[in-house]
Amino acid sequence: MPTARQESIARLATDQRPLPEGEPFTVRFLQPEDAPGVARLFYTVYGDGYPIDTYYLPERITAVNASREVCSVVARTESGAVVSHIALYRSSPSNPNLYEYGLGLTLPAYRSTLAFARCNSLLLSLLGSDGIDGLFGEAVCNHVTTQKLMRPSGAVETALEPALMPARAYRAEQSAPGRVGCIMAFKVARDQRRPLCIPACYRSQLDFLMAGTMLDRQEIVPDLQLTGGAARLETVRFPEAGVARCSITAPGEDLAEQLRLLEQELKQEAYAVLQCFVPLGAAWGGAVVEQLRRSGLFLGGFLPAWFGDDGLLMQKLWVDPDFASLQLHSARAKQIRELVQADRLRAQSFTD
Amino acid sequence: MAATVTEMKELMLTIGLEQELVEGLDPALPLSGQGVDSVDCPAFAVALEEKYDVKLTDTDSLRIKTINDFVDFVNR
Repeated sequence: MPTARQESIARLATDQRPLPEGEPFTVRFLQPEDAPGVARLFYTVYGDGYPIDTYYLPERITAVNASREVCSVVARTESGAVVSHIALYRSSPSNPNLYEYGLGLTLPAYRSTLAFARCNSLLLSLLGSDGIDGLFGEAVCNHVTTQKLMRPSGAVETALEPALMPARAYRAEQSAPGRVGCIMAFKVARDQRRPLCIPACYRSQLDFLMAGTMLDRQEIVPDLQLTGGAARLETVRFPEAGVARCSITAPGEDLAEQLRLLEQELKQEAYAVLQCFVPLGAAWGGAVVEQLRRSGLFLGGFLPAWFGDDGLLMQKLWVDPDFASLQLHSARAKQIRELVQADRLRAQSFTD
Repeated sequence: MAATVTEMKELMLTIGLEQELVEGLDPALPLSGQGVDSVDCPAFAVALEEKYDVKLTDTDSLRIKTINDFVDFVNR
């Protein structure tokens, strides 16, 4: 029994209509009649290898846009072909009003036109309204193009995720011999004063990472000791990518033991990356960060508005991140690499 | 008020081009030979449309190659 994805891909594979070349286009927010064109665009650019089923399924593309899980902008020709697409969409953050910025792709024949830039411009007009308080992007670091495409958004780099993506994700473009890192950039357009606990161990790093984010924060004194009781960890695993993302949603004195067990499982299953997301809106975030450092995790960076309140990314790798191979466009991103690499050196003294 | 080279360079900074790159641009030479690439140019073109309320066609965007060309386009 074929899946809906397989059925849709089979239909797309037999579509013999010529792809547009040189036809004028207009840009608009996605309408239901654009959804088949978006699916065809994904198929044309990625073949059958794009990992998320939704983008091969027109009815799902329409549904996620209707529910505001995704806000797509398309460039379309008069004949209805979609030649470029970009979106804001809900992904990992706990804050539903912080959208990820991505899903950008353009037909090869339209890459020298203004199609993508116009889509981008219309999409960014949403920022700060309609429940979209902020955006973030994870730009790959095997080249700098995506990092540059993000710049019109005004997002500033605040975190680095070395070795986040497996090399096989870039097999089609043959652009990555090893795992690929990502630089994270954020723009918060609608902010309010929030509490912020700055762990003493990362004071200078956070001063740098927060510069330019334009956030209004009330600093609170971090706890030094974990409270009694059980910590709460919410872990989402991406086995295909070898990545586990763990949000620490409550502190507790058993945090180190829970982490040890989680790491043991992940190592047995050949995971490459553990990421921990620590809320900084409460004093206990300071004690959690101290424990993560003692457990051998190192700094990833600052995550504005990730939980509503801000977050801190800590991480552990079981692969060589090859920091020198990261292609970083801005001076700020290169400085973040220095910060992260230095903290990993510190953390390595704890790893087995 | 006519658009100027200085305004064009200021606009380039707003879309994230590095200050050092922008300061070194010769307004009479093609941008593409001075480190402004195929990602930067469309972003700049759209920023220009928004700032000056003009519309570039794709034909225009292929023809316009230098900062002086952009200034002339806005002032035409």
